[in-house]
Amino acid sequence: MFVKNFIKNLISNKLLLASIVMTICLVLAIVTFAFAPFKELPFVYREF
Amino acid sequence: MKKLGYIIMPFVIAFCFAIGLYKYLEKADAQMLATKDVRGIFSDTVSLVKDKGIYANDYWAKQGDILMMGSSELSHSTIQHPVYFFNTQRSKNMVVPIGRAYTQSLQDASLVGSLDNSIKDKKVVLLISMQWFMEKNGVTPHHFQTRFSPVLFYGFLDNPKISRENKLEYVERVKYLLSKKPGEFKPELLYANYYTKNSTGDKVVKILLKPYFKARKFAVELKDLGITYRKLKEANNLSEPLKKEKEVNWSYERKLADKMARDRVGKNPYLIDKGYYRRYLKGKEKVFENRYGYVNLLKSKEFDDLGLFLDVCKDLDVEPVVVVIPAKGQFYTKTGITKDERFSYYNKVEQLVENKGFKYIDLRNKEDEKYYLRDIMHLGTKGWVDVCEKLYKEFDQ
Repeated sequence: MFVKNFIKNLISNKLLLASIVMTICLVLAIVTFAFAPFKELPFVYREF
Repeated sequence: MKKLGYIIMPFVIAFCFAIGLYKYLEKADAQMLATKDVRGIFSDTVSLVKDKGIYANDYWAKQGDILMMGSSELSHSTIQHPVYFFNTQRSKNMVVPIGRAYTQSLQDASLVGSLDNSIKDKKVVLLISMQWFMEKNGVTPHHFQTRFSPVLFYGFLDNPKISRENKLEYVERVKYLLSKKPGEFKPELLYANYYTKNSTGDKVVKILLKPYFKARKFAVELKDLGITYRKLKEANNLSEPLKKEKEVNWSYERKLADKMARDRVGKNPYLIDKGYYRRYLKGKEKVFENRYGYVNLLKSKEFDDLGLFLDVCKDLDVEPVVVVIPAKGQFYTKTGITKDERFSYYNKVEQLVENKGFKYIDLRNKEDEKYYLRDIMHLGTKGWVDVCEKLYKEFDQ
């Protein structure tokens, strides 16, 4: 019941919905940035 | 006003989350570094934690472990390797091999310069290869970028013990090496560009950009912690701390190295690994004849970078032991780099190191010693035993 009401309120309040989506995106971006290495350029072994 | 709140709130939450994550990772990493078996990381030859990070290196330097900086010789091509002698409970301290092919003096200067100043008596070894000095301009922009680490860059420039003069020299080099296709390192190129500028307009821009670079520095430190966390999570737990249990029997190791080398080498004129000989040298005498005749080892920009590394060590009271790995004389003479030229190069490195008051391990007389090198430039079974024995004694293990 509580979840249902919450979702109903959320859908009716577009600003809150946008704000929550934005928060989730920012948090995911931080987590991805923190755990993924900078792209490494291909390693080329030069024999001499 | 209410609308503005909905826009600002996600940023406030994200900011708090980032700070919280940073604090959590800092604590978790410290705990895992103390309780996990990190020898797997020490043996990893392409480790971002060691090669591009600060956090774990600080921890190991504080423990008294030996930070051994080098390049491709640190790959595991023979059993005889520093980790075999130092990370098998036969020494007081462990060894942390840092670097891979094309990690050269400038990158090593960044690493030493970004370590925590409060750590006393850091044990540092620098393994130098002659091939670093074969390029007139030293390390190439492409290779430097593959080894570049923003967290080390900011750590170096924020270190109050490094002189302004050395920082400017470092920034100028980084600026040049990042200027072609900096990719993800554009912020660092921008930082380097403004670092040396001092006009009023530039000072205003610097002030305006300050919050951005603070955030960038925080972000790359967070990345260092995050990558370290991921690696440590994979490591096994230690039931008890590792301690020295026995000594290395050097005479046995020398005999073992000799026996193993005989199997690896077989019969070839250079007395190097037969696989390497067959793949790169056999039947190619004409290809290599005078191939490097144009090289002037003494005029390479790498000497400036090595000088910077030594100056930074001086600023930070770090006393590195410099080991100059010999090159296969018999091969390089044929390619046009004569014995006189090579020995002038060894002399120049020696003078540079000794003028700064640091220790130098001279191996030039090993150039053509049987089984010392496994190919034309990398230490072989006997070479590693010899170098590790010297370092074992040097650091009183």
